[in-house]
Amino acid sequence: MRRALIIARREYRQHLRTRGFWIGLLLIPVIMVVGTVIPSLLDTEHGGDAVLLADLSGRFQPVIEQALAREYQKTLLRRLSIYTQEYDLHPEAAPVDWGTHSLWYSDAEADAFVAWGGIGAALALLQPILPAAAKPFDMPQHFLRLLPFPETIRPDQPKLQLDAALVPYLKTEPEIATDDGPRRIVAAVVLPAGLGPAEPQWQMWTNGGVATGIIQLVAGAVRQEGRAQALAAAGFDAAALARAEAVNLAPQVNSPRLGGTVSTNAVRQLIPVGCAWMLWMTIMMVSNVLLHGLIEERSDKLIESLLSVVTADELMIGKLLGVAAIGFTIAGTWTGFAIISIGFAPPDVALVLQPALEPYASIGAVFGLAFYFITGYLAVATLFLVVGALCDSMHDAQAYLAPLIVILLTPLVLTRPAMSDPHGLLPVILSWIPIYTPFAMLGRLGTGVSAFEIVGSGLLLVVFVTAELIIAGRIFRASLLRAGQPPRLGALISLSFARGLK
Amino acid sequence: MYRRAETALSALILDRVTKRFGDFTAVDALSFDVPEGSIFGFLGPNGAGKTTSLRMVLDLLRPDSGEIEIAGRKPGRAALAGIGYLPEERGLYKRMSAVELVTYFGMLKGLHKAAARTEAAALLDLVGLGVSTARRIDRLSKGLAQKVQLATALINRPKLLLLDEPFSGLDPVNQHVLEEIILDRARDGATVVFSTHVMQHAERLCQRLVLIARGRKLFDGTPVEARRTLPGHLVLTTRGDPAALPGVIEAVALSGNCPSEEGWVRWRITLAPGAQPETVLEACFARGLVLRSFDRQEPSLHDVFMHLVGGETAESRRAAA
Repeated sequence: MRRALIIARREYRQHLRTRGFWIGLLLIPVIMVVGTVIPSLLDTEHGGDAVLLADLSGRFQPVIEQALAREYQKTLLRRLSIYTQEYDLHPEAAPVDWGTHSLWYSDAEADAFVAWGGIGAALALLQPILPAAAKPFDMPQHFLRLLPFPETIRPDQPKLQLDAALVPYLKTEPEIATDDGPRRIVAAVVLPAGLGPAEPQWQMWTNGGVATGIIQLVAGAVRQEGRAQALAAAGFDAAALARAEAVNLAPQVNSPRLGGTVSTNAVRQLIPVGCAWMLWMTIMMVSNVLLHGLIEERSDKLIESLLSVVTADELMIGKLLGVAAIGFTIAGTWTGFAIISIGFAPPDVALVLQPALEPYASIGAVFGLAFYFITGYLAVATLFLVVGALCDSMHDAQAYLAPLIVILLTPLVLTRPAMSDPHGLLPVILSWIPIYTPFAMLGRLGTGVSAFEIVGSGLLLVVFVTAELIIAGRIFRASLLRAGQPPRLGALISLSFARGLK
Repeated sequence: MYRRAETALSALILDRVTKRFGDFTAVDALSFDVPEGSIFGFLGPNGAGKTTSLRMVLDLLRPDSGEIEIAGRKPGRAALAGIGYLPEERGLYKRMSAVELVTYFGMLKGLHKAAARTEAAALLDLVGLGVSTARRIDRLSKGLAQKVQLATALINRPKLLLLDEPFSGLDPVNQHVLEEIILDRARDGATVVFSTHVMQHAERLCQRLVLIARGRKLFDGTPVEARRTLPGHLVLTTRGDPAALPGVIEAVALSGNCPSEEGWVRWRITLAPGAQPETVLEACFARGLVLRSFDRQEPSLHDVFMHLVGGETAESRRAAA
């Protein structure tokens, strides 16, 4: 075993010196940082967005402004919810439950919150129970404001001329000074004077960015008001319509404080899939290292020197251990970066992630993750090791790698079905196919998989990996010094039954 | 177990060892033993079965029949600890430095890291790497890389050193350095077995040798005994005819029977087996054969090699036909 460990250490250190290792190691964390920290930094730098609005009908602007005001109230509610949970506050009952659920509020809740007294009343309610060290509530900025068209642009001119006139505002100089600081112009909207059933078309220009939320908000408000006006024109009672509009059957999304919010639960479902994906990525990276290393040793005629000082078994175990250490370094680094990123993430993101990760902080969960990582690595890496032992070049190895990669791609393809229906027939079948067990079970963890499935498929996996290692050891011993073309299937089967050196 | 009667201790014994690969017999009932502390030549042409035999000694291959003993042990883990091996097909980790690589092999052979590093530095100095010990292998010349490989074989101060074609690829200066190292290790008590098909090295180094071809042993003994397998030769210059001298099988005039003005002729004499040059010289004097020169010509190992291997090859061709 000592020699195996020396081999493992050399494999590990040698790989640490390669550029490929560092690129692979840091690429994912860099993506994490770019994906989380950078946007939050950028968010703090600009003062919000603005939409240029010209309501030539004079009927829709108040509705759009009301929709915007509601969205702002929902933002306030979300922030309040995060704020109370951050300091574990339990405010007295209020008409809107902003003390326990945090991330989704309906229009009715927003309206009720305003009617109750809004943010002023909420902060007054919290004031007596706030800890002394609590930071003051960070009042969010109005994320979107409606601004009139600049005087230089006549909104009633033909569309083609408006296209040209708006270019400077949307593309060339996309910022505009307002009374609460500079704002980025993300869209311009022209609602024609006759907008209604007879003239349903209205125009919106964007700055080229993805403004789906803004389009939905403005379009939703215009559509709603348009329908109301059409119904009134058709003779429906305006008072009855107003009452009907007031009926809001929107759900109140209740989320136990520690059990997690809607988003927390969504993240909780994503984490196992993320683990399965990380396992797959790690295994593919390190298995390639294993394959290339062994082929290099064979093609560079190193094997004979090595086998004069260590046994084939020691060489195999040493390589598996060394490359496993590389894999765990990669997986550990990625996990570490993820944890650090959560620490630096904006409070609302952290509030979702932290409870979602809590179930993985137990010894049982860590053991489970480690078990599937180790067995998953051994199940796949051993196959690559055998290919390396059989081939003198990557060209020779391609014949074996092509079907192997197809087999190994299956877990990735099946990620979506596993997410949408973790107890569906396909994920369950895959859980019992040993080479897929680690991926399938990691993807299904936390979804209420039965103890029988976990233990049964786990035992089957252990038996499979043990048998795989024994057979791989035989092929490894018998083929390391073999020269010439890789063996065909028949010869390969014969090698797998070889008990000793050939 | 095969053993030469006069040998008290053997570093390595092969006893009727046979190895087949399918229908091809690579080593055929090969038996020999290597006296402890000797420099032993394992000679034969390409494809004779030398590498296969050495791989069986190292337990990299298992014989189909026969037995191998290394200092009283069967090939395997325990026996490997005392062996240093330089394979014919050489390769090194290209991205490691010379000293790192030799240290690594030292650790694999059981040395602690510090001891392995000290020994590696000393060995690399000995083989002439000097300031290049910290350079990566892929930045060394082929000759220097071969020296690093030799150092990996020597790092554990092996009692049995197996060198498979150690001189191939080395320039004459480095061949001389390697010969010195082999002699030095033998003086320290190690047994050195080296395979080669270049007889000059065997001539200079070997105390005993085995010559094989097509997996079979053709000769086993000392270099002197090897030479005695061929008839001796003399070259002499005389005015008379030496063909009738006792112990002479054949006398060929080298100058084509065209004597010089004074009548001197150069002859190449082939002696009968066992005939001594001294006896021929005495007979010359006794018969009044005037000599201008008398030169004894020993057969070289190269001659022995060509004679034995050539004969074997011709016989095989006849058998195949």
